[in-house]
Amino acid sequence: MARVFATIGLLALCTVTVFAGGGSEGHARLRVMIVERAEVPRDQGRLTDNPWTEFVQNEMAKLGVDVQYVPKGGSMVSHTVMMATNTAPDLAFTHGRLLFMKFAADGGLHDLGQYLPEYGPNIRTVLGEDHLRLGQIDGVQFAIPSRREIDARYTSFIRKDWLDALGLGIPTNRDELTAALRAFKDRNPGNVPAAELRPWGWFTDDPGTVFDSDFKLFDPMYSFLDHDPAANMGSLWPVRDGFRDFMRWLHGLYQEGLIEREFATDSFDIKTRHVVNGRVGFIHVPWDYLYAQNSGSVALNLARNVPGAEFVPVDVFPGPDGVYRNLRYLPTRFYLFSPRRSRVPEAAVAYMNWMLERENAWTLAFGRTGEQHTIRDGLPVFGDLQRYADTFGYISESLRILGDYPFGPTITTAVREQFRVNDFSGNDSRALAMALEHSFQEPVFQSRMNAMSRQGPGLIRIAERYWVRMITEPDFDAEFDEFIRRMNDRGMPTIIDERRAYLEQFGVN
Amino acid sequence: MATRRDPITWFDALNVVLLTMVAAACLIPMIHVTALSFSSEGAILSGRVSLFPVGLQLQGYRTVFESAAMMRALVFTVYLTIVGTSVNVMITALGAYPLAKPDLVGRRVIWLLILFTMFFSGGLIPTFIVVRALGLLDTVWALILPGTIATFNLILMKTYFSGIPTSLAESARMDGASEIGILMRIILPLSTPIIATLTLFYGVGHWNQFFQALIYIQDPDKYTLQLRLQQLITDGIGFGPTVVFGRSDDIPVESVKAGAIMFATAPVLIAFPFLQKHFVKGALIGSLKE
Repeated sequence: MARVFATIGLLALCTVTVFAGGGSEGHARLRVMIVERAEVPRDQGRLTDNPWTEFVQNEMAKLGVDVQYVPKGGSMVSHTVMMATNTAPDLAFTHGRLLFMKFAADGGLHDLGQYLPEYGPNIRTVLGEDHLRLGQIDGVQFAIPSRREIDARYTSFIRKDWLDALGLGIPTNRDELTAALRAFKDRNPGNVPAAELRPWGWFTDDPGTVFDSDFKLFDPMYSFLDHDPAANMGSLWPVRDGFRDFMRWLHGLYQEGLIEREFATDSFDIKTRHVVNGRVGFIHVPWDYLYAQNSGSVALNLARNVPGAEFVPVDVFPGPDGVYRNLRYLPTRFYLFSPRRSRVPEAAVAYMNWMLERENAWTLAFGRTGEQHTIRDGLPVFGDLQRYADTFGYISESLRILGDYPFGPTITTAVREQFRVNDFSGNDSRALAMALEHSFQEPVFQSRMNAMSRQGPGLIRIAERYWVRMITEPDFDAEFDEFIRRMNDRGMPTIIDERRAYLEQFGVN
Repeated sequence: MATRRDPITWFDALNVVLLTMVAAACLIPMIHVTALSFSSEGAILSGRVSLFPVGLQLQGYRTVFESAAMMRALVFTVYLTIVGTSVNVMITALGAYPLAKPDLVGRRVIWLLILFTMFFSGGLIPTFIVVRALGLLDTVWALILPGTIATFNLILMKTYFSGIPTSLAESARMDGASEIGILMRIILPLSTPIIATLTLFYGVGHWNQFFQALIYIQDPDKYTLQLRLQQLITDGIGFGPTVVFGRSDDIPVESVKAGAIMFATAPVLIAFPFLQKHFVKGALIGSLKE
């Protein structure tokens, strides 16, 4: 029924659009951004013109929409230029939340919410109201947020062969981890040359974007703080109880020689080199860091270089309440929007609505049954993976701008398993499970935060500088006090006030 | 007659050592990347590759050469370089020739206007709007016309033309040659060093086109080699068709990246020695006015 209404509505829209000069007779012309994700095989055509873009175009033509694909490179510069010069397609997207918020706050985007009842009923029902809120600024639906199937972020790993050699069990908290790191250093179970040994390696060189959620040691940090979503939203971590203890703990580890000495200057390639060569005992990294499905796999190359070496995932950072919590990504990858200059925002909504029809979503995620896959027990089964890649895989991600197949995560998981090439003895699955257990997300602000955008960059520079100093300089307290003083001088209290006011007005999301 | 050799001084020795070090600083990264391009993934990840390949393999280059995207980028960049450089040199010569004439009416004003563009530009967005308004977006001309004349190169060429004796042009004029005839038949044939120099300057500029291509080009078929290289290195596009949930094949990613860098750099490296002789001469002569 919803589809019928959407079609009738679109036909009405087409009449208007034809008078406005867009599209072929009776059709609305919709320009849709498309991003190259993989190389298009020679026999399949081009990014904007291949059997699959043609399929979508034919289907949308039945709804009265002429879809034209506009390729887009990978740079944010182009986004800004396209928006500033009114050349952005009618349906565009960005993965940058700050960029999307800036476009919305500058009045550059359509309110898509008004079109959802008529043209986008699937968007509401499939994505859900909670999810849609990620695309709202001050209650206005400026973007449709895509779905992110796996939102796991970081997991800790420790060298099990080293623990075994020392007769130690798997550590379960910070104290046991510290003891293990000391044992790695003092007893050197891997017989690594002393100068090369790094009990804790791949250590982050910066505190991330202080006011976003890109800090690589969030999980260890939060193990020092009370779990308090209201405080996460209404405050900043440098002034939270426990933050000083967190930094002091890292400082102590570094001064004891348990954290890699050159963490502030070594690139991540060099840090990875140490891991691959078996010089590192413990890492806190993205959950899939070790398990790439190609010859670049860190775990496989480590096992090749150091026979018997094995990293296992561990939970070592329980909070004060004993619960292991992990930060996860926001459950969205892209913010899909229609620029204000577009005359067919309805058609953009209808396009997204079409993608969320169950049958269409299946086709865009897995290809056609009988061509790219067969069905067994309700799951798509891919026999010839190369054929799948050559006839559909090359374009699937480019077309599927709303994310993974939204009707059953088990299907996506089962499909992903079929593309697994290497066996990691279940460590990869355990790492993923650990990263997801009791996971929580950083607060999302759905209003323009002026103080944060104004003062944030300056504070980030201070944090980046003092992050290293607080860990490496001998006098921790002096460095920490100076860090807080400088943060306060540069406007940290203003940001906290703004966040507190937001919390009081909107509550915890 | 045998020439007498000057004795080697400390200054000479120091010069040789210093220049060798500078040359090595330029060469070693190239040699390293070449070694990476032939090395196995495990050896690269483990940091075992320095100046010689470890775990020799050719899969990296095979992937680069089998990549339709890379080959398209190569063809487009060659086209851009040839057409762009020809237009650049031609228009620069047409601009430099009259400006080199002392009796050109309004020469000082025109010259100042041109010099102004060396220090100030319209900025990214206004330039983009002009390019779009001219219908150049997503065409090779968006990469050629906005920078048709580089003021610095115009100065070099004008200075070079000024150094050619005016009596040559006058004799030709007395024999009935037109201005364009004088330029084409007298001046340009005497200017091969500066033409070669500017060809190299403009040619390398086009070969390395990145930012303008990023802004003005949307169609992946018109990506320049450098833009494609950036996509390959940062986004992994260009390794051939991939599957959705991770790669099923065993592509040595790091050596493909190194191979692609060599692929994009080698043509200029090969061309440079042939133009070097003219380049040094042209740049020197064009920079002096007697």
